Amino acid sequence: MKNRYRYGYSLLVCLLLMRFHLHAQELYVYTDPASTMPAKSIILKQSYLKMEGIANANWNTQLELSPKKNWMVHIGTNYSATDLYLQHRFYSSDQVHQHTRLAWYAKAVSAGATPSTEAILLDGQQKFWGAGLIATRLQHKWASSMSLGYLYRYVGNTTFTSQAIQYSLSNGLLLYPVSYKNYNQTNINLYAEILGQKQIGGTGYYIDIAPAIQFIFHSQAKLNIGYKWPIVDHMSRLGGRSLYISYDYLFFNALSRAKKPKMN
Amino acid sequence: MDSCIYLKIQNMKSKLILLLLIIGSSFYAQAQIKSAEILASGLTCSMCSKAIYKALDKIPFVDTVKVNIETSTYIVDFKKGETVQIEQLRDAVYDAGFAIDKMQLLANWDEKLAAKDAVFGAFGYQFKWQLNANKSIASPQKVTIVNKDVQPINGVYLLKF
Repeated sequence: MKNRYRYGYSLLVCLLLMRFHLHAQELYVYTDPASTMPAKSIILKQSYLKMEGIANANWNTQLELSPKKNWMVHIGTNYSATDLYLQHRFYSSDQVHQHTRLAWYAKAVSAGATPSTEAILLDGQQKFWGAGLIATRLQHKWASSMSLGYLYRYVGNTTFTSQAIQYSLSNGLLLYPVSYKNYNQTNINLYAEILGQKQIGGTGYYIDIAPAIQFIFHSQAKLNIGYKWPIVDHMSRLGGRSLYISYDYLFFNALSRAKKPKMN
Repeated sequence: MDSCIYLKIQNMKSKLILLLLIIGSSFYAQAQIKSAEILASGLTCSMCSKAIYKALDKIPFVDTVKVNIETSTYIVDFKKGETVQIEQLRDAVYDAGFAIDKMQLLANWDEKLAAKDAVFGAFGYQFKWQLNANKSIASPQKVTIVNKDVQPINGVYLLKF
């Protein structure tokens, strides 16, 4: 247990120290920043989640849309659940190489299984909805994002609590390239995120740490590999430790009607 | 004889009209916004930069976009003879999720002198020189749009150089 804390905190300290030499990144693997995706664009995402102690992996296919500036919608599905995520950026203050942004989000997951754990599982195994706020600050070589949200799940005939608070703190760094020259350079980003949940009407809570590495190809496709484990765990739940891999591709202007005529 | 002179006069008239049209069209072609230099704000990553690049590049009157990812600077060249719409350039950057810190236009202006506080029309827009004193205008002359977020005030763009 002590080793677990030590590894977690060491990783955080390393990332905090490294931030002074590197560029910031906010394309987080486990959470969304307050920034929304480019208007009229589409992202197709396939993810794989393998939780410790559970035989079957969770494959999720997601479509992300930005029909309008400052708005984005995610629609996801896996073998047992469908999820819908909506985010609206309502405040932006941009300066060169820095910004402060605020957004609200709402998420709903429809799943057939009744709760079997104290924790509200966020990865598509339980029926719940939630909403909250995200604040993101990008300043040259430092980017940090935090979120605070409310969760409500449908508990059926079980005695589990139905409400919880969830929160996150995310930091990200660009490892490579040292300086950008063109859009075809492969980017390597390193992230450390802290993800927590606290019961409302109960005493259970957990805090996870989730380091991740991200490869960005042609400034358009992302490969994310993350591993999450608990640093504080006072709640029964499935898969406290988990491996997460996802790949997504961004289609710029895919929803835009105006097409530039091709030059002969 | 009379009809011959009449034909010659008519011929000269046609040539004169043609000459005037050519001169006029050459002036029209010269009096165009040639390029824009945009300093975008609110981004550091190449994926974000590419979102702006793609949004600018798809605008029909845009010819080429050159980008410096490190400085978030975009040099946008326009097609000859096309009408440049400043608001489309602005919307492209904001729709990509970012803002404009500075937009500069390189253009051949009809005026040779920029009179302090003078309001004038050009390229389909109303402009106002925001200068401390009258200045000579070069050809071409690069000017900076002073308006915050490149939003015109009462339909007027404020310019300085």
